[in-house]
Amino acid sequence: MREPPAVDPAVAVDTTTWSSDETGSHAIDRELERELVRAALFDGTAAPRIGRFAVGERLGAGASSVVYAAWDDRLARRVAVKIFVASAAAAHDHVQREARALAQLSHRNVVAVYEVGDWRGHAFIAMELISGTTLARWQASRRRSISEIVDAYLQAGRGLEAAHQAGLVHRDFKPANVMVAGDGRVVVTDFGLAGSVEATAEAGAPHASSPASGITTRAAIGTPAYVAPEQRRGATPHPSADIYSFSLALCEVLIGWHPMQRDEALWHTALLRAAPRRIYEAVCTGLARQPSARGHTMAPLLEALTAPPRRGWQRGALLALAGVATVTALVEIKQHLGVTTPASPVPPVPPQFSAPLLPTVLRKIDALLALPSQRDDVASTAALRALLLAPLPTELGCAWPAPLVGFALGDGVAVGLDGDGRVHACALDREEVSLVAGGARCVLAGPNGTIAVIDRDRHARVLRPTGEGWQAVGEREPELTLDIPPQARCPVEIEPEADGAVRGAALRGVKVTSRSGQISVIATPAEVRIFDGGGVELSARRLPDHRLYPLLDISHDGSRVLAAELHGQMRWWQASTGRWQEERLHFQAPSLRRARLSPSGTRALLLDYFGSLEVRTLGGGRVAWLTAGSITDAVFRDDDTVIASDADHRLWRWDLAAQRSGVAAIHDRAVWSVASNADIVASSDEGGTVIVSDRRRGTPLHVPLLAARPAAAIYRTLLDGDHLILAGDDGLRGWNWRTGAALPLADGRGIRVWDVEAAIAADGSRIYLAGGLARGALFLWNATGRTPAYLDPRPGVRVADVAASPDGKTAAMVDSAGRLLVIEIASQRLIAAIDAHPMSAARRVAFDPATSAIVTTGDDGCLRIWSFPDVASRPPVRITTGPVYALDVHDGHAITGSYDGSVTLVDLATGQIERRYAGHDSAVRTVQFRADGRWFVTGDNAGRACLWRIDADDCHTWLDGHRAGVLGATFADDGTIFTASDDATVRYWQPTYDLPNDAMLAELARHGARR
Amino acid sequence: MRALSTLDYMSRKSFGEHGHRCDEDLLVSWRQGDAVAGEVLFDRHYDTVRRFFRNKVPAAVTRDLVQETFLACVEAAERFRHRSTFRTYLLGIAHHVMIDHLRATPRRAGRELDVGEVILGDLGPIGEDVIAAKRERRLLLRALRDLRFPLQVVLELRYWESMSDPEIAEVLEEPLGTVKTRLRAGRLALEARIAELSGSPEELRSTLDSLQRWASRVRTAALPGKIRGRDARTAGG
Repeated sequence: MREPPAVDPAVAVDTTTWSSDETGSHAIDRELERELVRAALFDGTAAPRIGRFAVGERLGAGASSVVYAAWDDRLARRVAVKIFVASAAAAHDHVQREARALAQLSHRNVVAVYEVGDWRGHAFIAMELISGTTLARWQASRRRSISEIVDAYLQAGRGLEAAHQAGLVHRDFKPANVMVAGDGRVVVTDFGLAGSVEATAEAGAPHASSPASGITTRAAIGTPAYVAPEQRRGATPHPSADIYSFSLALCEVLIGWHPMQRDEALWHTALLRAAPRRIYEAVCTGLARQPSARGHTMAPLLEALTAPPRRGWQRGALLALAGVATVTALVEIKQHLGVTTPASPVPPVPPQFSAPLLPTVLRKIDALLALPSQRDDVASTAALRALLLAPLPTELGCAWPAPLVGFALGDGVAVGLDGDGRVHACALDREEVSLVAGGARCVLAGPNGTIAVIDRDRHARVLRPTGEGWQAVGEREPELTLDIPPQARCPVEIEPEADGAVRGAALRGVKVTSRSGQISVIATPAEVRIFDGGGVELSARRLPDHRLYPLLDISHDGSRVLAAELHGQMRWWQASTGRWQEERLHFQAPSLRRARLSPSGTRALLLDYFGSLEVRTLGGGRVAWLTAGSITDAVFRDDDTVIASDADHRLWRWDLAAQRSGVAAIHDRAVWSVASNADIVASSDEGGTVIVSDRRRGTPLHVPLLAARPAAAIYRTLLDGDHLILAGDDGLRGWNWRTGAALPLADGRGIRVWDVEAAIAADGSRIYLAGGLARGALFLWNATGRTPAYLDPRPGVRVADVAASPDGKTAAMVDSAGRLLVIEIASQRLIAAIDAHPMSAARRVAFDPATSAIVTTGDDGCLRIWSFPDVASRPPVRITTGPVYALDVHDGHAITGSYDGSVTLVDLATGQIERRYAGHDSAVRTVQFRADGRWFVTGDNAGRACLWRIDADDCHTWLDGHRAGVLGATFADDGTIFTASDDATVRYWQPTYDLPNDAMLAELARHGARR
Repeated sequence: MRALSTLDYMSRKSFGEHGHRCDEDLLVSWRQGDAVAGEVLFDRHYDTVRRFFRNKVPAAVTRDLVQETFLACVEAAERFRHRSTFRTYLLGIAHHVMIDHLRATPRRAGRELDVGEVILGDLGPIGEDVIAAKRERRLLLRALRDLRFPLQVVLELRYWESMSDPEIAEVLEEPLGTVKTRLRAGRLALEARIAELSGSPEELRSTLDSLQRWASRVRTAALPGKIRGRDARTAGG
């Protein structure tokens, strides 16, 4: 009561006049009232009449008119008489014209107009008196079910449609202008009239008793406006304006608040949650700012309302997967495309899979093949292959005993609520359904298999599975009362925590603690703050002001924290670097509903309000996705398995293991090199950071590997047994990665080292030879320190590459002056100094044990093969390969990658080019043989990387997803490929080295190329 | 084309010689059954009575209370002898009608309603019509309704009906001193309430600086019945 009156600053104090008579009522209104009192007081005085209608009870007043119930003597019926306050003659014509048009219109959902007239200079309309309430009051009086709302708005919409077809525009559609009769009939009233009169009166005939304009009054009393933006600017009314108003009103009633009151994204979310997607889409179209974008008829809206609410979430739509298929689907695709292939062993098509699956997949493929040729057809096919090889989900065997009305999916457990309030739980690992509780109003699933049951008294119990059944957890507070609004069915966003406490009501992600307890995160719409177990703040990240709580998740070990926003901005914090990274997801609307991290934190699943689910590796792009439109929730069971539920409360297991690729490490700066063995993968970046991860568990090893000084780049990472050696701006450094102990390599500060190779010293110990970039020097490092093995007397000469002979006794180096230097390591004696690439810089040097040769490349575009050890005495074999940047040698063969993108295989024994590989079109930065020499990997400056079979012309597997140049690549022993990229990410691939359907895909590719 | 005002219609309507008679005579005639005399009285004082109720009860109730007041003034005409003017008499009745209405209003927890303490603003909104389009007027009306009922009444009689202290005392049947005290207390309370309600310091300053001027201006501008009211008083006096 004691609050200040609602005041809109836009309603400035009117200083022109205090003209309007008394507070807010109209002269004509008061006049009638006076006459009504007079009639009641004095017997001889007849009730006032408006035209032939005897005025009775006052029904209400709007901004521009007053409505009275009245009695029609002639036809002996009750009518409603609406008198317009404004009295301009022009308005009369307008009113009369519109009312006449309306009188012609006979529709169940449009108010019937009986008569139009003039009374004491005011226009009036006599119309059907509808006993009932306004739609505004109807929808405010109690919570209405979605079917009630849809029915009411469908009727109102039909009324509008009929009017539009008769050439009328309502101009002021709002719930207050729609009546709901006692028998449920919904009638649109106030057609076109209020708008026209107001507009004319304001524009043409200001006079002493004209009331404030409708808009001002509405704003003044705080009623949300429903008028379309162009209408507010005074544009000619068009049916699209009514479509806007209708959509706005519909959206408001569905979500419970006026969509324009808050951030635009919020109503998208709320509406998606409240209504089927078809209605959402129709409302979105109807609320377009551009009138032309809204369409010209009510038909799409009515169609969306006509469909049964659940129709949009089709049963089995989960299977209609875009880009997710099996070999079976491939065959069907092939048939669709008219490609015939030799018979391949194909399992029979399960009938329920093929029908809904195929059209969607085909559409997706068509879209892919129709891509503009930024990426050529080969790449499209590679993408297609990746899509088609992704796995299908399979249904889990949780058999619910009764149809469910509520459902929640936690990790390890799915809980369902049936119509009788019984709670059933299905353990995801055993697929067993058990009865947990009765009398529940809603259920929630929490971590570690816990569930929360909220009963009809709004008491919440958190239960945990035990051997004997379900037990309440949280000893101090086994039951707590949540502040849940009585109307809310279920506070869907609260989640029980492992200790039994229930997180704050109806907000998402306010505080989350990792399973290990090492990390806790507190989020507000403005920022995310991360604390360690001791409460020390580790990081605080400000968020753009969307007034939304971010979705939060922490990996089990606390190594990563994910904070995603509705708009699709995804940020993650990495404990190993202490830094944040972010990525923008592309949704058709701000619609992110769930964001969860996998147990190791390397992958995230993202579910939107459209029911589409995707799994991404953090920083590494999409692993797989389902655009089924039916997924309601999803959790990780482990890094490779996702459990998803659909709108029918069915559960699906999605095994991602078949698609093995992802992100191994995320850096802050460009990653120059990566190395791996069976146990670990180590990568280092130009900011001086090294990340070493356990390959089996995927978790970072906390080795204190930090650059000696900030931003000292590391160019080369060498894994030599237990030794991890880094070459960079601050010299050589090394650790034993198993123990974490630093190697006694002497301080190399001040010497920039470009490359490092392992060799064997005379005493049999390991020795590392490094090429100094700053000075033309070859340095040898051993356990006691560094010795300059060779110092080039010429200033400005830099060592480009070093190599050690297979026996470890000889070193070779090439420098920027184009020279090849061969040095005996033990004696540090210079064996040869040859002007190998005259007049240009040399780039690479390598030993080939098979042919006993040294291979050098240079910017002169030639590859030279020198016989070893008699380097100086025999002239080299010269092959023109183009200026080679990248070189690798294996068993008598060399692979070169050059600046122009050409990749060449050279037979070192014959000195001939054996094969050229087409695919790269920018500088190839790295080439690397697999240990068996049958495969190699390349990476170029444009971010393309490829796995090649040495005997095939075309790329075997494109390693897509790099957002910047690929600077390094390496094979692990098991065939896993790691790439280091300028986009600060280390990715891994576990490609299928032999595919049964290569031939088919090749044909598909050719077909695509013909399109 | 300008709308014909109420006054236009009134002047067109013929009341014969009744139009020149004073309120007292008309009342006597009305009591004797002359409905036309009653209508003249009704027309002369309708606005005053309506104004009395308008900021106190919802629109739908106003009509009933106005009607009740006019009926009561015929029935209780003996009491008129002690009054100086018909207007104070009529407003006195309106005051009683208002108090009766308040007492009949359902009360919370069975407590007896204390008319001296009741705040009309606490009883609920009085309908959409009261939400004035003009911000300053909304502020004043709201502030008045947030005062204790007796203070609201004296202030409205002072500002809207331009009544002197003795006239107000007569309407309320209270001692003159009480009325003066209430006027003083009412002004202070009104200023305080406006200060609470007003949005900006400027608005507050300008409002407080000229509260009385402002209030009377509101009345002058807002109530076209004033001229006729003065005429009627002149005729009656």
